[in-house]
Amino acid sequence: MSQEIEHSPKRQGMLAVDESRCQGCRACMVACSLVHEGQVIPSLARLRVILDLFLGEHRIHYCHQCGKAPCAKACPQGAIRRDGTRGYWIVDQDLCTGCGLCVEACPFEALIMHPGTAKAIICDTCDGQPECAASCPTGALTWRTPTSSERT
Amino acid sequence: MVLPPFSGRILHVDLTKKEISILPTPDYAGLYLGGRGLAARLAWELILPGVGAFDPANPLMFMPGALVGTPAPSSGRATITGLSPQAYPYEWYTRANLGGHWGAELKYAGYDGLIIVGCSPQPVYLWVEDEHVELRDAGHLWGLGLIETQRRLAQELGNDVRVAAIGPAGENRVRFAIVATGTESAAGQGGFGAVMGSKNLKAIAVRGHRGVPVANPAEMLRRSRQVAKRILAHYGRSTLDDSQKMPEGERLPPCTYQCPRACGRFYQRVPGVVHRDRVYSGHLFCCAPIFGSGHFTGIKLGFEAGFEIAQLCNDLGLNHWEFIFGLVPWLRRCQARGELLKMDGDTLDFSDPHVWVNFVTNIAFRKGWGDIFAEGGPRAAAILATGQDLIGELYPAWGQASHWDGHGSFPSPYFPYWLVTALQWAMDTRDPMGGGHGYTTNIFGLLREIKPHDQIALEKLRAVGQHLYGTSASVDPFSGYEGKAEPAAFHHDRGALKDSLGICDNIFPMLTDPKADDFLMRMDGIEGRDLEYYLFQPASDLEISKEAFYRIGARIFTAERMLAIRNWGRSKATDETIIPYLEQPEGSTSPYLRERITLDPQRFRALLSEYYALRNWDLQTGRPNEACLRALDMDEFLSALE
Repeated sequence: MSQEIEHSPKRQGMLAVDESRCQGCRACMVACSLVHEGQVIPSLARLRVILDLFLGEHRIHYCHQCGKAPCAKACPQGAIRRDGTRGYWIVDQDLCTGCGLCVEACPFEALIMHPGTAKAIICDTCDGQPECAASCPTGALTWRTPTSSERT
Repeated sequence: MVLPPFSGRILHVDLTKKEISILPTPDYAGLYLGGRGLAARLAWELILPGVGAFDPANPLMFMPGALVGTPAPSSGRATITGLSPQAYPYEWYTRANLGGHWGAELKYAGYDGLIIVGCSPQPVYLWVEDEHVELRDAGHLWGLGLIETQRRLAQELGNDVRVAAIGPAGENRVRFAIVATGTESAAGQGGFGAVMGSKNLKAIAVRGHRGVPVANPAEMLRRSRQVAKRILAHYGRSTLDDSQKMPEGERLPPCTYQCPRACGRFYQRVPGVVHRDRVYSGHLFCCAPIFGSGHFTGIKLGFEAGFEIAQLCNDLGLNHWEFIFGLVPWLRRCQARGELLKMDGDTLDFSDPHVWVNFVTNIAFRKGWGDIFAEGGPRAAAILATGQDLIGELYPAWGQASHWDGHGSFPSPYFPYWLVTALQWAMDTRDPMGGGHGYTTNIFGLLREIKPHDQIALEKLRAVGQHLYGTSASVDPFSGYEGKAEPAAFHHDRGALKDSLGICDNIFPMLTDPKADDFLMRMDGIEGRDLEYYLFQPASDLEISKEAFYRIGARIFTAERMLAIRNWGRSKATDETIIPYLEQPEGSTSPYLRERITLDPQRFRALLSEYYALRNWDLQTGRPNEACLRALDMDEFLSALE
């Protein structure tokens, strides 16, 4: 498992998130679920805006594309690996058995179980053109090239 | 069969029988869309003559607009309708509009709308999670403020639950009690919070995991982003002036799901002035900044005290508008002639924030004299037999206070522009601005950017009127009574359409742009007036032409008219009840005319007739005629004309 992680390709882009700019409109979740599910189903968006309507401060749960990848380490099937060309984490839907260990392992609460397939789903960065960032009106979500230290 | 963006299901809850059922969304949804339109058509079947606002038979409808849940910008809005306890002299059918995230969540739970009938014997709340719908005991929530109610329900049901609830004001049937979600997203006008209270329904909590279908996802996303970008470029962000800018603890979240704009401000941890042990956080929108700024009212309490009162009203579940434009101006006019200075020994000096806090709290709990003011201005004046003449100066009609009509406590706009809003008032069932800002936002907004002696700009303005309303007089500052029926009818229809789509009244319709050479709004070559259709097309599988789409607004407005005729005998005489209010001098002076104009009632009556003629209504009775109903595919309403 760890061997596969080490030999993965370098990331070419990353989602940059500035929670302080998030205004809580959830346009990102609407766009994400519409693109991935064919309908607007915010509960199946690959990122989640956690609203605090009473303090006006919102949290964003998303895949940080981290190098440690506790999700991949937790997966007993080796179903979570880096995409061959762009380097973001993917869940191989053929290998995933739906045990949910990755969901528990992720410190960013980025993975969720899809109720339809009973398998884990994760942000696929829309192949480097994330729909969430394209819909964000405030610049809280942007897509940028990682710095050298971020290129793990 | 019902097509996207409808899910095809309406949730129906009978609180008396504790029966929960799912009705198919009627086929006529294609003719009325969602929100206000669907509600109006349903009301024709559900609301029979002789029912009052607090009768269990009053159906309270929560209807998210047809675009709610889609990526369309600002599409988070739901219409709440039913018989209104604030409406005066009749508790007739009207509507209010709720922002926030609640309406979208109801769509995601799989419902095009929710109808509540009956009355629960004890306090309950409704819990909706997709197929799971349950009435739960609300004994532990009864008496709590709106914020604490939402917090408790989040603890019980999870942080991501969305709650529409009432505060103590709704429980105690205050006639201007709100239904609200978050801190300041409220269905303000109409008193529908009191209707929920009369049904012993404290809250509706929703969480949805289902989908809202969109006919053409890629095109819907593309167009929504394009329009969102245009909205931001045109309006910018907060509309609050610099006096409302705070150095810290301020954020700009929108009031509604999917809105790019954020026209208010959200303040964090503002210290209380009266309750010094408290800090308040919350939104400030619309008229709420006036508590602190004193703009219009002349009572400048300062930001902190004003914010505290605004947030207390939100928490208690009271409508700001009634205080700022109705009750308090009325009491101050009474006081100016020595009346109502004190109630049971309590002074009512509104320059003192402590008096304000006492005032709103007593009203919410109907404590002592608060019980009288909880009836709203017109009924309180009748009970006290005091200042009834002054009510006529501050409440144009239907039990609601001044709003963009140039008189009373709202001195803007000046003549002849208020003739259009006056016509909107005359034919509506509430203050018409719940969906009718269009004329004032677009035309009066444009006028503010023009210098009075700029003849070239005036010529361009006239061309705008010709283009949008078919007559240059519709916007001409020198046109008097000419050409005012056309924009009034246009914005009645556009308002109804907008409320049936669930998009924002302060954004749509986008008609004018002071930065454009010809003052007309455009987006990449598309006319601003076509943007609703541009957004609806990819969302829907309904085959509908642009002309047919914009005719939906007229159909909805006519359906509401027919209901008022059948149930309350609405006539031309009813429409004319606004005339005495307009016969007081206008509140400001036109820089073009340089004198204050007073209404000529004969000419206004002639304007009403012009308006009727435009719609094919009978000139004597104000009733839609057979040709009007048939042209709008409203044959089922014909029997009411007999």
